[in-house]
Amino acid sequence: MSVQSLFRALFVPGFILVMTALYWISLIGAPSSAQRVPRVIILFIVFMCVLVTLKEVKQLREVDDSEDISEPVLAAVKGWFIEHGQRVAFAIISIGYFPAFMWLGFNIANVVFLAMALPLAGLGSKLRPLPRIALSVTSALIAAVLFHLISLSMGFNVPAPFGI
Amino acid sequence: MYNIDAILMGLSALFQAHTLAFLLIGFFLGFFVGAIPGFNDANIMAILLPFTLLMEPVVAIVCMAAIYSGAQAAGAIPAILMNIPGTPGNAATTLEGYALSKSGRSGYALGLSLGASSWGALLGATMTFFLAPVLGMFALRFGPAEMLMVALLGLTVVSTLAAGDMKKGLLVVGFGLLISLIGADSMTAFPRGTYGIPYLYDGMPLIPVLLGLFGFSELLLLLGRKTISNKGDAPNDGLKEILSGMKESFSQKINIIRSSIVGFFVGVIPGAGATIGSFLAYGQARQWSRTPDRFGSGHPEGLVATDSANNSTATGAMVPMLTLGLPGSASTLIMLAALVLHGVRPGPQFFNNFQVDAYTILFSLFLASALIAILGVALCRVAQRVVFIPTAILVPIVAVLVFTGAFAWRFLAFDILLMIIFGLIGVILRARDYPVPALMLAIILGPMLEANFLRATRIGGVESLVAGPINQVMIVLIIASLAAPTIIAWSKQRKRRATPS
Repeated sequence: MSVQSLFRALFVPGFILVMTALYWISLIGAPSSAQRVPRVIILFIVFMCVLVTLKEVKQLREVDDSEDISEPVLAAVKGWFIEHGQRVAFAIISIGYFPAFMWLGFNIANVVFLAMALPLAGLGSKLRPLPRIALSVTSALIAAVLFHLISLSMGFNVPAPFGI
Repeated sequence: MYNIDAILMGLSALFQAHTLAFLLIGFFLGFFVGAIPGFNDANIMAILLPFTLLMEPVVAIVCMAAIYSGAQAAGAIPAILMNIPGTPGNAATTLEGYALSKSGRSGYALGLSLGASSWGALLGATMTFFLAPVLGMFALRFGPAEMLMVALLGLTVVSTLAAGDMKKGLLVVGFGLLISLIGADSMTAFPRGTYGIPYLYDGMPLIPVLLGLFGFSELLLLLGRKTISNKGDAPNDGLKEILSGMKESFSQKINIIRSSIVGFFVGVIPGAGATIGSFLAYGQARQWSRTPDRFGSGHPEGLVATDSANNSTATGAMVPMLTLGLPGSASTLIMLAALVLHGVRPGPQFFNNFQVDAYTILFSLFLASALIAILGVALCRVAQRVVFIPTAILVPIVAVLVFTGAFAWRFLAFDILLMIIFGLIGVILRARDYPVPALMLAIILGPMLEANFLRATRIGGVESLVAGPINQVMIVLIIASLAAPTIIAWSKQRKRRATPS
């Protein structure tokens, strides 16, 4: 049973426990009626976390990993980033969409996001850099115009640039 | 009880040119909006509400009902093609529909869904037609304790649908319930789990959470793939595939009838919602199936069950709205508002005082169910191409749609960030085989569960939770659904030991 496999198996129960602990902290000082149902649910979560953890550890022990030599942690992390780098980058630019949306407005945020997301997702991967950038920016502009028209027709109050 | 003259007048009122025109317009609008993730029927109905004041009351309601029917049916399209439910009621559609789509059978899956939706809507309309005048009283028997049991039943069924591991399902259900309780407590207004963020004070917004868990997480997982479908280029026989799926759905008569009945009666209960109905129907379809092991990997029976129930729930939800004036969802609330604005007051006397209008509305549901099958085929042929669009284009474009859909729910930029956070949670859960539908259902049902628990225990004490025949039947069903996976696994083990190797 390697450290990495144990980490992978227990990540979700651990994450849920941390979130549950944060919720429990927020209940400090709450009236008892506000705590009644959450307390029951928190107990239930802790109980299920224990069961899931025991099952996961049991399954890991049953797996014959005698040939499994633990990779150094740094190498494992590096390998993970190589495998999932595209997703991590996409998640980062998606998170960046939020402040861009608020400060730059709907239309500019869409252009900027799409201009980065389209090549990241693989658009024009067989082209040279300059044509690829040109293709991405043009596609981003066209798509942003379409989204602007959709938002107008649906009556969404999307923010304009710089809040104006 | 059934006035033949009123029925015939209702039928003739429906087949007026302007009524039919608005029915068609409403259906197209609903279908279009329902097929776009994050844009739901309640949005478009709210936008159209002021315009309906210019229409006659029954025309307005027929239009709204057509939008509602179209959206429920079309919500399955993004659920099947991209694993992004178009409406919360289509969360269960993703369980089998998307698996079929990934294996290159998107047209077949769409056909199954269309056929099942059409039949479910038709059966729901039939049951509404014959039972609405009397069913209002049935809905009134569901007090807080009964509603709590309905919510618990829905949660136990969905947790047992977790791929081979009920413990993971129950853990995720607990987590979802806790998330659902973020916000101001309904009794004391104490902010729970908000950490000072004002946008969480009203609780978790459902559409951004839904878009994140299903939509954004799926987009992240699609990166690196060439297209959604594993099968490469678009087939030339898309129409043939869709029709083959419809034909297959028509052959599953017992499944459709059973699922539609489950969905309809869940829809009749105010506030229960299409999500519970479709998951309960899925659970019972798996229990009755001869091949339950195939569920989760693209089983037609599962998809037929969820979509027929989903559409039957939608028509069932009209019953409490018309007979009691109790809307069960945002869409039925807007329909109710439209009726009231036109001076038509739903309630126990609706079928006495507004007979012709009532039957016109009911007949429009029949017509909408036929439109699902007829127009749906043509619209799905176009939609089917989505699975063959390169993800390099599809993922960023749909991401912007998902961002916009998340924003459009409350017009808060914060919801975009919330959607992304839940998207990342969805990715993590899916990577470790934790069931995301269970989390979503728990988030939807949590507030209903807490409110009804507190109300029931205040009115009748804890013992009221187990009193009454409805509660007792529900408790038996809950225990059965929790015990069923263990019993099935144990009996399989026995058979394996008994079979000589």
